[in-house]
Amino acid sequence: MSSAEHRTDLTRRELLQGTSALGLGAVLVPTAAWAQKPTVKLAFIGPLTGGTASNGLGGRNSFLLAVQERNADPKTRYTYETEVLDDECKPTVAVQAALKATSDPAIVAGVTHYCSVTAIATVDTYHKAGMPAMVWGAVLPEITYSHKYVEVTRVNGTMINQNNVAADFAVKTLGFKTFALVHDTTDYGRAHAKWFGEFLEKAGGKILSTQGTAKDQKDYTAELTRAKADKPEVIWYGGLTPDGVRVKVQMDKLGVRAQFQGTSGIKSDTFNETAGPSSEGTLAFVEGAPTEKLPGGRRFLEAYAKAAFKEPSEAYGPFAYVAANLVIDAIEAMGPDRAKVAERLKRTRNPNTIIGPVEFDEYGQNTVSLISKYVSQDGKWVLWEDSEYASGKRTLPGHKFKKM
Amino acid sequence: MALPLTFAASILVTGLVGVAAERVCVKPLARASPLMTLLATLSLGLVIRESVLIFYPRGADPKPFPQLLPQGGFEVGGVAIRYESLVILGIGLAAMVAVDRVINRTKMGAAIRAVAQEPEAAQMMGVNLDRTVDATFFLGSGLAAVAGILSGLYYSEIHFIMGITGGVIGFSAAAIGGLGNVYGAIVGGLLFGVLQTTAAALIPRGSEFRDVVAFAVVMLFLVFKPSGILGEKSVERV
Amino acid sequence: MSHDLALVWLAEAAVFTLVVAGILAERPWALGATGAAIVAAGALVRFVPRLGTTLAGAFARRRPAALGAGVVLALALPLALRSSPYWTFVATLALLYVTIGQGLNLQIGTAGVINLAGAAFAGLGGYSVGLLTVAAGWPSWLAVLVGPWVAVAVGTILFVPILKTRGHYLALVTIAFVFIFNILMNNLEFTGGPQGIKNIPTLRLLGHAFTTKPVLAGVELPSHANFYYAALVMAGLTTWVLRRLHDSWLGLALNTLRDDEIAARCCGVSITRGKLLAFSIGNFFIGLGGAFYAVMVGFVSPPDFDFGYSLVMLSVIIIGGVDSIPGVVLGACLLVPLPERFRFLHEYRLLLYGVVIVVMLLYRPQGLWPAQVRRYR
Repeated sequence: MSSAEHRTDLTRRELLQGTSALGLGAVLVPTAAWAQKPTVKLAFIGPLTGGTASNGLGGRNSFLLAVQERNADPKTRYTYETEVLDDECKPTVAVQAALKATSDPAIVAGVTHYCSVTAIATVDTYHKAGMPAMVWGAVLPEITYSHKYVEVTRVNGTMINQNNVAADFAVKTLGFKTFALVHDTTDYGRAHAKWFGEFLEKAGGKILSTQGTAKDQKDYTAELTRAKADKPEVIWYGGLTPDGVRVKVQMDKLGVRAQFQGTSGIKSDTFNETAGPSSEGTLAFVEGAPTEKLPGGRRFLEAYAKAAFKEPSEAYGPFAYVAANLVIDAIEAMGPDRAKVAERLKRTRNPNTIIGPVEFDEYGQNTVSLISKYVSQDGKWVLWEDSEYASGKRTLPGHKFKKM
Repeated sequence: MALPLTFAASILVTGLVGVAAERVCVKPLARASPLMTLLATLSLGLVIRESVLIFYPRGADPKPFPQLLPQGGFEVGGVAIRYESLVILGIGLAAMVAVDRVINRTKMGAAIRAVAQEPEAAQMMGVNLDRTVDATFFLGSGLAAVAGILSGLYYSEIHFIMGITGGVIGFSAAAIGGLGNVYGAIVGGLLFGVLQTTAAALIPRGSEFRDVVAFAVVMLFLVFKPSGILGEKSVERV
Repeated sequence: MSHDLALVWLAEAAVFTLVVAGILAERPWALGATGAAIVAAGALVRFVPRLGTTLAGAFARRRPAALGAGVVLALALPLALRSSPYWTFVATLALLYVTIGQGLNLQIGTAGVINLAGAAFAGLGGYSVGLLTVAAGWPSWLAVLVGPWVAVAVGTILFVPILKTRGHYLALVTIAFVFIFNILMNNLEFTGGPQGIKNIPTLRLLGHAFTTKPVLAGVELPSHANFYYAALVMAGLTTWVLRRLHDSWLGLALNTLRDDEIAARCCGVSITRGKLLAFSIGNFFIGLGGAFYAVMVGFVSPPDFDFGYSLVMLSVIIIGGVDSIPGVVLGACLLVPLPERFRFLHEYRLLLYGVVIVVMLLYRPQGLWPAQVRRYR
């Protein structure tokens, strides 16, 4: 018990050093205590600027947290340095970042990409350079399923499983029949709409309309009015938080009497904070076990809070944290050799990470990814099974409208 | 009552930031090509946006905006009209009328128009060039702040990249309506919005291509009716 | 005098060493030392009396030798950067921006035809290559040659606006064009939607695929060096052609119509022909840059050609010096690698980039290498 406490203490001090150094963007400098250990470099790539920065910064912080914790652990064989690179959520910039990481022989592996468009663009770069890269946030199926590169693995699930669960749940468990789909026209929204639509029809749901909207669109009056005319039971939105907030708030303003269902992109604290009372009863689905329910997950959340990062970890922070830990595990076992680490990573079999068990298939895709169902209740995301909606104490907006 | 006071302060501060921006990156480039001013102001926009992202607490996230306007509404012949839309429309019109008054009825307005037409002649007539340009930027930036606040009130949320297309659409609207005419901006803005919404509502897959329609019409207007709908008095304009 | 020659070569070698050191310095102390050396060298030239003028004189007297040594150093750069495919790639990207910047400079700088749709024309070149190779099965080299012509052809849509509008109005028309291009590429099915077109086959030359690592003088180089040399040839040819064009009667006529259309017409310059010719030639080179980009990275997608990249292209010619051929080269070689050098700034990088652009504009509104008044002999 006391040793555990001692460890947290050390972690915390390291974290404070780390975060203050981060302000200047400095690379973490190992202190004398473990200076004699050989040094290994890890790369993190994600969007640190622009519209999706909040997710990228949350992922980066979680990644740094993992590295700092492992550095503080006297049992590790190596000291880990980090190279954090911004991909701006743009493919060209991502390729440059990936090239920079792979060009540095000191970098053994990377935890890479939140935006699907950047992850798919860089797959070949990692393969050519032979550098293992573990995707921590991008959900497009093709990132793993379009090739069999040993270098590329992904800890988070694809949108295929997510939408399978989401469609079945909406139709079979909740009993909704008619859906109006709205999605952003990025590959995230488009592919989500495609998969959700397919699974919806299989489950017996009916799509009344499908509309694509530009990312960062402000006004959804036209789309919502059009969708409203068909009187759908559910308005489904495939896209990210800022746009999801606007869709939901404007639904209420226009008096669209339907259930609102989103994807992993809106499962953020920001959604509830920004949409305010409008968020109540919104559904969202995320890959991975609920972090706050697992013992390790709770420790992660506490450590993250203690580290006093400027930004919250967001929905995919835990994935970046797990990816960093898996990569470090592989390096500890195999030594700083890219090929051996890649080989080892692909054979990962870890039954208890903070996102649940992790195991990769022949494509490097984490197969045992659980899908968690969430509902927004009193301004918080609550696991469906624990919510007052499931227990019957409250009624989902969609069910209320149905009765009237 | 604290909230309207905050809004007033925000408009004032934004106006002053506008003046500062003009002093820093417009005036020093007055003699250079207008392209430089364009690049300088767009770069300054990037700096301001990224500063909000970095320095505002949790600036990367969208922020909730306080509700102030009356909620609810009524229905006329199947069209839902919300009270807050009416209030926003009212404030917008009032702002335009006020600007029109300032431009066309006050001494400062006369100075602004004179400088726009011929800066050197205006100075010969005793117009203080620096003060007039300052006033224009104060007015313009303050109005942009009003627009930002109204947008926040209507959509109940704000985000650091909310202004990124607003600039292009705003300029497009002013150009369709007719640069130099205050009411032209209203007509142009209305037309742009109607085009976007109609495209989204009537054309199949229209919501994906709504901006294509709107921008195509902007291009046609600029080419075939460069003076805009309400026109501008002077003939030569560069 | 032979000591002119020594001075020229010494200066170029010093610049080359500083650039390579600046690129490859990884540790903070090395980076700091290189930065200090660059600042010191700049201060030396700026503040030591007669050093600047002596150097300028030596370069003026020994132009062919200076140019020759420059070419040799440009050819040697991949050798110096051989440990880093990344920097070889960035250097190649800078050369692409030289090509694109020269095209844009002909339009904006020489003829005064404001074009903020540079990203769209580069995108037209890139997407043409993608469609011709992946969908139609053409060989890459042929697609790269045809791509620019697609940019020129689509550019004819803007012929009417170019003749009828000027200044801010033309700027707005071209901005609208970029937005339309981007939305169409993102939402149309045959262009691959938001994912764009992937798996564009690489270039081959006499059976040598550009993805294999070249061996130069017994040294193995990263595979990107193939593209570097191809881009060097392309940028060099483009610069040479546009230099000739700029110095010809056509360049003079374009300058005249940029400065005063009425006076130009009085001198017998056809406004219509001049503007459209400059615009089309410019689009050809912008499209060529985009087409080359497509075969280099192997894919094209909408975010690679959004309005932001139009602004980068504009910055290249404005920071370098409007209407200045060497200025464009300098602008591209500074503005493309510099933001890469400052990657360690994380989220502060874009902020700093904006500040640097504003400061450079204020400090040197005429550009780093301003255009010279023509002298005909």
